[in-house]
Amino acid sequence: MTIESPRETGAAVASLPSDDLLLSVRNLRTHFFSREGVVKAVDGVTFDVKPGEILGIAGESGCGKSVTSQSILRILPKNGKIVDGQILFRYGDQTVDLAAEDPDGRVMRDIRGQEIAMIFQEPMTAFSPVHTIGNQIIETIRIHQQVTKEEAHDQAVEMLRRVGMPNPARNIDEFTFNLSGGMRQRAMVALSLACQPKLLIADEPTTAVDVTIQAQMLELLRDIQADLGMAIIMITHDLGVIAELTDRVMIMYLGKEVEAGTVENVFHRPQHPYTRGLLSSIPKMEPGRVEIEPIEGSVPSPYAMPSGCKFHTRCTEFMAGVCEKRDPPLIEVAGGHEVSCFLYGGREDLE
Amino acid sequence: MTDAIQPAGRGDRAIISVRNLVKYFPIESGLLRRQVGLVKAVDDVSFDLNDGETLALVGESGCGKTTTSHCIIQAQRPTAGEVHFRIGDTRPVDLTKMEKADLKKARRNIRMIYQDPYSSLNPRMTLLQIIGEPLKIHGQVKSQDELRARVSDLLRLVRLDPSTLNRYPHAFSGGQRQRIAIARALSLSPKVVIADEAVSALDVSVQAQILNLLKELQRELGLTYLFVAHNLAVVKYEADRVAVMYAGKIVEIGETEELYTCPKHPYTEALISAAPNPDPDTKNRPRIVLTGDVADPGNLPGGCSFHPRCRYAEDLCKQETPPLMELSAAGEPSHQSACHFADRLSLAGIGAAELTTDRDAA
Amino acid sequence: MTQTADVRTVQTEAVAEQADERVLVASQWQLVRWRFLQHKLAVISLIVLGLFYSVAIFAEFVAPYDPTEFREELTLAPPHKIRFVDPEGNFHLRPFVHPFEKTLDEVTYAAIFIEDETVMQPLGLFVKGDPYKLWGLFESDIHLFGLQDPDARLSLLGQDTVGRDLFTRIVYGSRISLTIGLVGVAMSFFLGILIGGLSGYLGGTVDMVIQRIIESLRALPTLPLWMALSIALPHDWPVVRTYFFIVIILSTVGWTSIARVVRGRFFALREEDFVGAAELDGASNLRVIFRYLLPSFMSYIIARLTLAIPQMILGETALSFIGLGLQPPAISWGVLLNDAQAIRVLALSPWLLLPTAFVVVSILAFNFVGDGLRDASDPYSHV
Repeated sequence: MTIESPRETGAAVASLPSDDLLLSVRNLRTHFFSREGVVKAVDGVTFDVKPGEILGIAGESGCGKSVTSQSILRILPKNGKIVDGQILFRYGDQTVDLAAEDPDGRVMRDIRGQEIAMIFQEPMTAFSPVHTIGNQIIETIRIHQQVTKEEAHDQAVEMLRRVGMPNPARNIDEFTFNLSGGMRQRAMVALSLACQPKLLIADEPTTAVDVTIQAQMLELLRDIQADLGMAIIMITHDLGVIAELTDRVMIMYLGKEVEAGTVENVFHRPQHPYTRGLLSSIPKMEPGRVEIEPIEGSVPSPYAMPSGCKFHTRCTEFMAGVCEKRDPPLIEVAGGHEVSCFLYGGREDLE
Repeated sequence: MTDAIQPAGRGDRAIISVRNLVKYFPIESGLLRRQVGLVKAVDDVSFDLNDGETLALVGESGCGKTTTSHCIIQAQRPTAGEVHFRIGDTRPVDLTKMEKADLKKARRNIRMIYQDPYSSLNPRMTLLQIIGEPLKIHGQVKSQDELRARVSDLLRLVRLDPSTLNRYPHAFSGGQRQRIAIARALSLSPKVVIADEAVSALDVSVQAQILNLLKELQRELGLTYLFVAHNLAVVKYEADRVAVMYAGKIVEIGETEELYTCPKHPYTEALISAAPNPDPDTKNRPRIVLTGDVADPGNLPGGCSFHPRCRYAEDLCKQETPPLMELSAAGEPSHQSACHFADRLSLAGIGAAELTTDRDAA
Repeated sequence: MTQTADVRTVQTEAVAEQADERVLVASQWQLVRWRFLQHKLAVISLIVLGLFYSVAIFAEFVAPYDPTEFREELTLAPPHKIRFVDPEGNFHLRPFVHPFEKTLDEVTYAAIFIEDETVMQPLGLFVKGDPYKLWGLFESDIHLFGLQDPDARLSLLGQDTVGRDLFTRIVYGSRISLTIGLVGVAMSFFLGILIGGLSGYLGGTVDMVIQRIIESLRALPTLPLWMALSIALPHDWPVVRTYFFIVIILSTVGWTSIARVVRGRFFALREEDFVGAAELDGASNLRVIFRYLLPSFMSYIIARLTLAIPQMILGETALSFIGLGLQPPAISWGVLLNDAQAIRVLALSPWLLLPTAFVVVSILAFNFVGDGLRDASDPYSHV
């Protein structure tokens, strides 16, 4: 695999805050502009991804987790714009700010598929129904790599074998509609991994499938990650999936980060009232009766965002005169465990 | 059909007794609609729904759980079988043989909540009209004032503000819409409510609200629920008894805690093992990952439908379809499984420290 | 079972608790109206259409002359230049024109119209002119505008081949051209909903027969069909009767697309959970149709109809243009364009093509309004 120097391709040059990072999203703001108003889908989100780690981004509908991934790949819908922030990505020996690139430009096209790949909720959307799986994987490989058709074909078969297709040499000539749901998922993973990307973004890949297929998918992602060593950003609303797969997790609510840290810290020592509420809302697969406690109310309209802390309208720890006044700061409560809540400080000048 | 299940009407507490329920869909092809196959969506299903309990039908897509619920309320007419419905000490009636007018009356007592709160409410009607519709159709209110009063009561029942009754559904979030759907289902004071994936489309925080609301309503009103779902954790929380379905058949049925801790069917064991648990400590637990896909009800394997994916399968499983057999001793709560080796296998449930067999052994 | 929790867009998950009460209790039609009003082009088009239809209704009053009155000396006279500045360079607040003087080209014998700059004929509002009977009821001779001298002629858009005022004739022509679409669409609407509804509701054999009929009708090339049918109309029929037959001819094909839409929507809506819920509520078939099914797609059908009107207008224009639709003395935009067929006329008197501009503007306006209605017709798509 050869990578052209980003300088030659006109990439913006920036630098990552730390040498051991693959991706660093700094203060990202992505807004949607529609007739009904502006939706601040992502409103100031910061996180890092190290090479080879699995980061989970979790939250309920409207929290902006999918928009974050679309922003990284610059595949936002037409009315969505990155209005602020940086998306620093290690590209060869350079660092590029993806937020500053032209979404249709050379650099983005090179990075998509080769450096950062994505898998989706619905595998059928990733494939063209009129081409065989092999066609599409081979084409993807040849777009990004200088290889012959035969070499690309061999690579494609190898990738299908790795994702556990039962008969790769035959499966490569099949169409997606001939495959069962689980096989489609595998084919999609094979397609996304065709160029051995450094980062794989998985956007709700287990949401529309049955439990047993979901388990297959999670196992596949675990195995593939151990095998190829790429980093994964797992986007899901299912905290069970997060706990099963990821190393670190960021919980989002209405476009903001509310809490982030290692899965162990966040799940065992949740600090933010929203995280605590989410965890106590989920029925557990444990013996005996475990009561659940829902979060009151529902997610506010994106057109009528609450002031201050976005969660204050539903929060059991709401402090009048503080929470609704301004955004809570991000506070580190333990090593790498951040919480965005006034309970842990930042309210001194308000009281 | 097995001897283990009591014949219709003998079960003391049964409010609905399903007997040998069958629903086949023909696969047609070509211009002349020649039948080329059969989808056996529901294939000989029998169970009792007891008064005041929550029975969950759980399984993956295409297992027939939704079709079963539709065949009970006669939204779809079953191909064969009986659905006996009984209130109090009255004689049970078979819903499958009922004419339209009688069915209309019976359906006052069996109501349904749908999965998608966006498609189940007519966007062109106000809450008053939506929730009041069944009351009007069944002539249970005499005046507009009475209708408003009844609808207000129903809104309070589901913890919605009665002053919102002139609003349209678009003014409400998914969770609130599901409350409206529940209010509509309760408007005729039914005995049985069929909740068809009623919380699947909701966010977790809202899902928890609805689960608790359903429980509270059950306590207040003495309702009986048939709870159709695919999420095992949700079912564990909500149901008193669970029936696990696979490829149109019930493969295991029993009390929730018993079924989750001591499953008696390999499919149940696999489902429990596969369910993701929001606890990072269990991250590296051994799991049973089933190979292949859910059986296609249009093209079922012979013998036990689960055998191609079963890690305990033997030759017998390929040849003979196992019946649903009672496993618990007389006097104990019933626990039935449709596995040839149900009494021999020692299967892992929730809380099991280790799987009895390493998964490679399969 | 699939989980759809996160499939929904940010917009649909909106909780409108904080939104104002007006929206929360807004009925479907109010939402449609609000959304339509946000579609600027559609609103402007609606105003344009309103203007066109008012002109058609008050044609006698708006048109400065009688559409049949001809002045031989003004045959093929060009449009006047409306002036504010006289030859001496003085500005006049009231616009005026110079009357034409006709001479003949010595070589070609073609008529040449030269403005007589010595005479100034001022324009006025509510001027006296040719007497008329508005809608055949109210006698008057007051016209919206014209030259203050009742004997002089204002050539706003030129004169036709026999010296009749083209603007006047376009105004009168709009009556037939604009209403033929409405009447035709009303007929298509009626037939389409009736037949499509039967097809969708009864299903089975009835549905199959109706679908085959629709397919056969749609397979016929429309123009030859219209031509064949219109040739069958006796030429000595009165204008009104010809008019209605033309409408019927135009509707023969128009209803089929509506019928298909109605049928398709019927099928799709029967699958909606709220329809299933109504059936389980015990609602009768009629109640389901009239309370659940029809209201659900009425707005959509109306949008479709609006988009179907231009087709009717074009149909009439096309038929009349090739001489198979309405015949003089009836006046429609198509009939007027029939005059503009000869290349010689077009080269020398291009203003005879001006009725086309009115056809284009009205059709564009209908399309924009239709677009706006279509976008607004399902207010629940992303409120």
